[in-house]
Amino acid sequence: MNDKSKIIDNLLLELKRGTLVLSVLLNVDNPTYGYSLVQSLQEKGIEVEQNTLYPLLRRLEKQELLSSNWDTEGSRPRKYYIISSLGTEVLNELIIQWQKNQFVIDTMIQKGGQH
Amino acid sequence: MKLVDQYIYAIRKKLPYNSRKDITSEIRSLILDNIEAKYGDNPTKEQVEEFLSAYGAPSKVANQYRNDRFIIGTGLTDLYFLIMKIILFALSLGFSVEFIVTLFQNKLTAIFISTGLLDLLLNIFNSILPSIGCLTLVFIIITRLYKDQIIDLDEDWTPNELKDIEVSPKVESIFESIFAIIFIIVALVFINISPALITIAENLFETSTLELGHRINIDVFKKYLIFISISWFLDIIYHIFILVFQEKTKAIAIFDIIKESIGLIIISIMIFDSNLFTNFSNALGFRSIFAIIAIIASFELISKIYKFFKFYVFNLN
Repeated sequence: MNDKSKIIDNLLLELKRGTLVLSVLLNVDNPTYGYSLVQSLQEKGIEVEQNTLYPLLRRLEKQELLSSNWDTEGSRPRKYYIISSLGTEVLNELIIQWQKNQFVIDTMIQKGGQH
Repeated sequence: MKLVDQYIYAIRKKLPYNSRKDITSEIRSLILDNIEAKYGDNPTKEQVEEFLSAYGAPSKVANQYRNDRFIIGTGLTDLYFLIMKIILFALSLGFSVEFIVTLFQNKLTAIFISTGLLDLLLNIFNSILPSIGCLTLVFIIITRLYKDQIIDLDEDWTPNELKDIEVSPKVESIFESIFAIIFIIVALVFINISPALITIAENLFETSTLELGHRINIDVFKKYLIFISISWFLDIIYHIFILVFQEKTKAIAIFDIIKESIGLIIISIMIFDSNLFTNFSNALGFRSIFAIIAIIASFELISKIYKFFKFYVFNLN
């Protein structure tokens, strides 16, 4: 039983990882700082480890899919991220692929259900 | 929030140098946001400790931000140290042999031997530092080249990407390159520290029944030393490339042809420089040796150019 739940945990982790970039890009259409993004994702049912998310934001910024700027006016300085035009193009492509995959998987699940 | 500062300080030390300030500012802001949301404006020390231990060990947090850039690629570190040992051995051998030869050429006195030994150690020490510097520089360049050559086929690869992989002829034996490096370094040491050894060799030759038809003018020869050294240095770099890649890639083959051509040009200029040879009466002497070397080098160069065109231009195996 333990092995089974461990395998499921690992597979679910892989699934989550695969969709994390898409989830992030969908939630940075307005300037968003790290903590608020975590909150926003959690509210939508996506649990994400903070230690994974923040380096991911930096990686996406390096790939120029996100742009960022520091806001130093509040109680503490915060780095705000927003999707770039390149990021939007990439996101649109990812959405198309996601929808295709979803359709294919749904079809397979339905066929599997009939057996 | 001293604990948070200490935690960030511990992370900072393990972060990539260039982005430390930015990353630590962001982590600090994120941690404080989290603590405030979870425990309010005035968290207790225990609450902060609880949050930080849940956030993760500093090294684990820092690792997430590392981008794995190495001065010398991890796959090359063993080879780097192996070549360093080869160079140290060759330098020690070269200087020691040169010292022994000098001993036999001079009157042996205690002062001469002790100052000679001191010179030997100083020479080895002085030559080690620039050698390691050059080796490191070569490996930094190789690391960059090597990184560019690596095509990541682990994720989302297509067979189409394989077309970028250059299958090059494998090198038969790496020992040839190891011995070549040792031999060239010993020769470099010899020729640079005692160019007069050429005269000694000439004198030794004349102890036989044959008489030399000319002599090398050492003062003129010394002017060629820098060019000979550069040519041999390129040879060492070539053999390091062979050891690293263990195959003759197109770039290495081009480098080989270029360094071979440079060597041939240098020796050809030397052969035709009449100032280099004194008391010329016939060809018996170093001029003939240089000519033989030039002929062999020409054949080698032609063979290398032929193989290059055969393999890389016409793709004939």
